[in-house]
Amino acid sequence: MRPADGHTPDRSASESLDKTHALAATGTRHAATNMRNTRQGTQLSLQTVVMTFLAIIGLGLVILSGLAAQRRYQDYSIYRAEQEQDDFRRPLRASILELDRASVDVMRPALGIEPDVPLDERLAAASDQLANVIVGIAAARGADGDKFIALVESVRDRIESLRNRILEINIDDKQRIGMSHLLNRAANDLRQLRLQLVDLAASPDMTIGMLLLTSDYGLQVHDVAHFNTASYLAHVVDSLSAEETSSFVFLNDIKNLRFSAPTFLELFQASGTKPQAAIWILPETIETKFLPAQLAVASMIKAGENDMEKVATLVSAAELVADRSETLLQQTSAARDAYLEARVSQEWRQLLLFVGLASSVVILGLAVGLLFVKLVALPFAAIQNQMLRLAVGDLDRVAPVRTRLKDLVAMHDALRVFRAHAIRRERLQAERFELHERIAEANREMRADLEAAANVQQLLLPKSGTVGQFRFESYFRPSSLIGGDMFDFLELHDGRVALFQIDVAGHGAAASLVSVAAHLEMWRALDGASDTKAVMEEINRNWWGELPYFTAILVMFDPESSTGRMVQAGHPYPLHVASDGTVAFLGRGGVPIGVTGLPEYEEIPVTLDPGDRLIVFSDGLYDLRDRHGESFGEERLEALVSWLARTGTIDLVPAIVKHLQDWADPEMNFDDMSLVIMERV
Amino acid sequence: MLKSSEQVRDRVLVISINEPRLEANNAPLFRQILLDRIEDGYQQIVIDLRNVQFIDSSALGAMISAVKRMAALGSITLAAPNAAISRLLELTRMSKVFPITQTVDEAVLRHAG
Repeated sequence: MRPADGHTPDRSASESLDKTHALAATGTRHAATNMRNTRQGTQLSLQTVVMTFLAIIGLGLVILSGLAAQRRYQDYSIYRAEQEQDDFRRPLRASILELDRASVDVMRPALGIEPDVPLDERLAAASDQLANVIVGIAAARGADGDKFIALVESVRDRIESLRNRILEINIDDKQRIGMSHLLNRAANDLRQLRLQLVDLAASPDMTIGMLLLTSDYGLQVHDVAHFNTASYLAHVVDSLSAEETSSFVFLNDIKNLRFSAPTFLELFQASGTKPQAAIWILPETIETKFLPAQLAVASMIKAGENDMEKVATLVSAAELVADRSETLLQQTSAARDAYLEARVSQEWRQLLLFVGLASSVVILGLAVGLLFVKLVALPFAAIQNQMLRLAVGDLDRVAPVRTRLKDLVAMHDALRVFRAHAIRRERLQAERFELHERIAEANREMRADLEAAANVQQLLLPKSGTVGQFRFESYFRPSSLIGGDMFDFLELHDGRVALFQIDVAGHGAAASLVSVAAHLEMWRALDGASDTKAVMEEINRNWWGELPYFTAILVMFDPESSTGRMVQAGHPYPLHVASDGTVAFLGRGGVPIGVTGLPEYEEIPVTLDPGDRLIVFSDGLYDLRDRHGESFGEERLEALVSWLARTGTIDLVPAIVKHLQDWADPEMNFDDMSLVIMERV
Repeated sequence: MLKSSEQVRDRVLVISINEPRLEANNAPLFRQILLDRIEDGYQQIVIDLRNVQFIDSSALGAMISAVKRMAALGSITLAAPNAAISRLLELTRMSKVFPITQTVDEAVLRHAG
């Protein structure tokens, strides 16, 4: 059973509510902190994601631009290297040309054809050009530079020693032929060097290749024409002096000269490279001038004749070939210069373009990043911060967010709505707390009133003890503070002893007030009453129809008599417990007070010998229920009392009460309960 | 919410209660139903208690206040009470207030006759 004063939920209601509020706020703050921790710990912020994305794209573009720029720089370096190589290529070529011509010119005095340019001048020019070659190679700092320089220097020394010999006065024809051979060999050495230098600087450019081919062609034609001429002249000089006819090996060389021309021309056609003007003139000169002159000299030698006019024609044809070759070489060089200049400046422009592009990408990336931070990340962070503040219950004004992004403006607007809702919710909560506090206050007051009323009700109840020859023990437990059960035992003025018990239908304050009224009515009716039946009928007669009905039982004993009278008005049958332990219900029932005008109560005798007991109780005992909803009922009470029949009166009340408490479901509401034991002593 | 069903047989209103217990917590509703029906003009009412296992003093009070509200010729008959309810009705001598019959048919017949 529930203790009446064990639970006072209203006393600390406001305290506990405040605590709940504080706990809720702390909880929210924890939640917000956790949220932030989670985001920092395992998740990525919008800023990080977008910046990483931008950085990857930007880095990709920068790498691509960088690769392109590097490619351009490589090409640029190649063309620059080509230009630098011209510093030693061209003097080398010029010295070869000089030596070719010198190899012919050295024999001309023997035939009486003085050269146009003094031989010493040519050799000096060749020597000077070789000096330039040495400077150029040294500047280029190639891997085999020293080896090449040594070679060039040896050739130059040979030229210088030849120059000294040419200055001597008596040089015979045989010496001139030998010198021509030496000059020719020197030129060949330089050609070989040139071949090695071609290997050194091979460039992946068709146009450059074609231009080199053109100059090679010119150089080759020059070489073959002069070699052939020198060979014929040597033969002529030799036969003039020795009068011996040597076998001819020269005729085959004619084909060599012819062979190259169409090949080069067709290559030019195929490559789409614009050939130099002189390339058309050179083969024609060879075909129309040099080859006929050479053929004439060859035929002359074969016939063993000596026609100086034919020899002079060959020499002048060789000079013509030299002129045409040099023109071709000049044109080729000019074209090469122009081409290299164009390529170098183009590659340089492209290099600048790609470097500029890469820089632009970097700058653009930074600008986009800054713009993103300003337009999105910062306003976003501001909104996020305000959301977190709102989450921990900080309801300060929502600061304006500067952004042009519609989404962020919408988020910000939503945040303001959240704040408005939060403020309203807080206000409602405060109002609810206040209302709750007022209710709790009213409840406290009401409870204080009820407690006062309960005290009054308790005071109206008699104390356990002896009245006349009877001992009374009682138990009273209202369902709330006060109840609708009342009982009393008293000695009337004529010495009779009366016991009555009242149970007003329902319970609580109303039933309690009614029970007090019934109690007073009972007292009034007992005053001067003749018998129990008359008392009940008087009370029923006087009872107000508007008030609830109540059940009652009244027992009266004359002094010194063991037989009394009892009347029931709807009240449960009392239990008679004989001193030998026999237990029986007494009574015939009766209509409750206030139900009908003609109740026709029946009075029955009650016998209580010494040691016999009568137990009267309200139906609250029967209505107790266990966990299965089963009522305690008459049979269980009878069995319980039979079992406890030997227990003394003082111990019997607590024994019954304890058993009832053990049996009943403590969670279940219970009706008012009261019990009085009357024992004849 | 009180589970109950009603039908009119021979101008007699039969209210069948389908709650196992009629007690303090549903007695006010029960009382209101009875008063409403009386207000509606029914003067012959049978309360069918076949499905009720227990009634307490509050429910008894509801029926008593209802019968007090009725005109002189009106009556409420309690039909088919179980043993426990019969014991209560006997204790309180309710036969002086309400006719009590063993079956609903008997109650209707009694009113109609």
